[in-house]
Amino acid sequence: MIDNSMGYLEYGSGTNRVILHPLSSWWLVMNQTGGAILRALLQGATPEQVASDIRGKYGIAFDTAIKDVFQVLDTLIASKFLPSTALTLQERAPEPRSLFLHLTRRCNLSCLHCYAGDSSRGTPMDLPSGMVLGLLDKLKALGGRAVTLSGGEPLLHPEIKSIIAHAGPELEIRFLTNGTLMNRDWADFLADHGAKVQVSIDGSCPAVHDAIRGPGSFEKAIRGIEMLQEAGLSERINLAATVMRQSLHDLPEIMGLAERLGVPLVRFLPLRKRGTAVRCWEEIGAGLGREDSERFYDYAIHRGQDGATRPEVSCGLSGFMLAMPEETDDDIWCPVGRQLVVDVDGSVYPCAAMMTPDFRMGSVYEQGLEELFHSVPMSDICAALTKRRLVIERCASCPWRNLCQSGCMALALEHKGTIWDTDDFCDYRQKLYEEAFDRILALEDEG
Amino acid sequence: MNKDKAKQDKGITETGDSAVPEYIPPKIKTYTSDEILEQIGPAMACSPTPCPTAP
Repeated sequence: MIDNSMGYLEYGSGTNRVILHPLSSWWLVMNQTGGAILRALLQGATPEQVASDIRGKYGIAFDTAIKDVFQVLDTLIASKFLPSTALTLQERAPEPRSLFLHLTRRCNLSCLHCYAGDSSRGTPMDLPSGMVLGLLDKLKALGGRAVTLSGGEPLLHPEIKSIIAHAGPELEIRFLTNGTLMNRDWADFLADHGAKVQVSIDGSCPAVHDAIRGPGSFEKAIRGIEMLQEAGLSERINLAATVMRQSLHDLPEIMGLAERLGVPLVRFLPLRKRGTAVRCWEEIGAGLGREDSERFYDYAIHRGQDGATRPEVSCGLSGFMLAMPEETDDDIWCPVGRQLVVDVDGSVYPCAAMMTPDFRMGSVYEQGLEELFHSVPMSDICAALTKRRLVIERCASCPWRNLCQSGCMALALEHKGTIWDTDDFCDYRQKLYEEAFDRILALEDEG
Repeated sequence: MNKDKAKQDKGITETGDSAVPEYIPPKIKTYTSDEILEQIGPAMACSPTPCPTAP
């Protein structure tokens, strides 16, 4: 075992072991000799002392031993595993990279699971376009890179065209739609402005989809996706499906549907008891056990790379990943701290799945974007995001803590009522990590 | 005999009376995201930001 006084973590029991960095998501695989060299270096031995010990133990030439020690040392330094004195926890610093705008309460559908439904009653119908354009200008001035346009159904915002036109080309546009109002003009307009479009599909056929989203919505959404394809969006389209009781059996079929439509990515999202879903919970969530979701995740994960469409379940599994996304330059996968979520009434939250009074950070009618990004609530939530894995007891001793980073805060809030705990998928996620690393170790042992 | 078996299990080879364990050079390997994708599959690699939430 690696001396754990520095917090290095080790997994495996065979010839090769996974060594995990104590404070970052970095990991590597080394054999027993490599582990022994790392152990000796961590205990303060010089490379020459380690090489001398190897020569004494194995009777090999010192030159061979020192060359091997330096090979290990160089890799450890390049991988930032050494020197141990340089080990630091990278912290999330607030940075205005993106906005997530709930542009309107207007929607032509009444979906059973909508987190933005019901709870918005009594608030204004739209975020005024003057306010939206001002926010986009400010985001650009602060160096922001992207804006997510959501609703309700964003196509129903009276000024949506001018908002889209104003966002680009400086800001990448992510457009979340139910797809049913898409026509050739809209599809061309979105394509011309480089938008990435996410269409919500909750069933592979009208019987499933329409039971959740309303009669006729399936055929219209499919036609909408076809028009987006005809407009040339192709790789810029993805489907989003929520895992709920009615659709659970049908989720694999959604992958088949996406392949037939030429859509490269399907995101499977966890059901959250918010908005309309609270009222409809008996219908959509009751009886949906953790085991049901896990069975589906098993399918999605073990499906591998068959087919042209990729399933993504890392949102539902809140941080189940073996490498951080490339754009994650501070080694924290969650976007909290780099985005602000603006509700239709101007209220600001750190995350679209944490739009509760406890996490309301202010209002765009009372504070500027810069002030909101550098506010005390933002600083507090960034600190929580950084430190949860070290504070939550079961995470502090878990080898996977720097990969999942205690999972999604919003899902923990949903399942446990606090962000200072993990979510209900923690045990399952640990099992998946073990399976994944067992597979990597098996490949190394074979090789 | 048990002693010989134990030595074999530890990878110890004997030359005359002296026992010197076999030296296996260190192996250390890091993985890129692409290599993880290739070996483990797409669902296990990463998730694009921002968090893909849909209403």
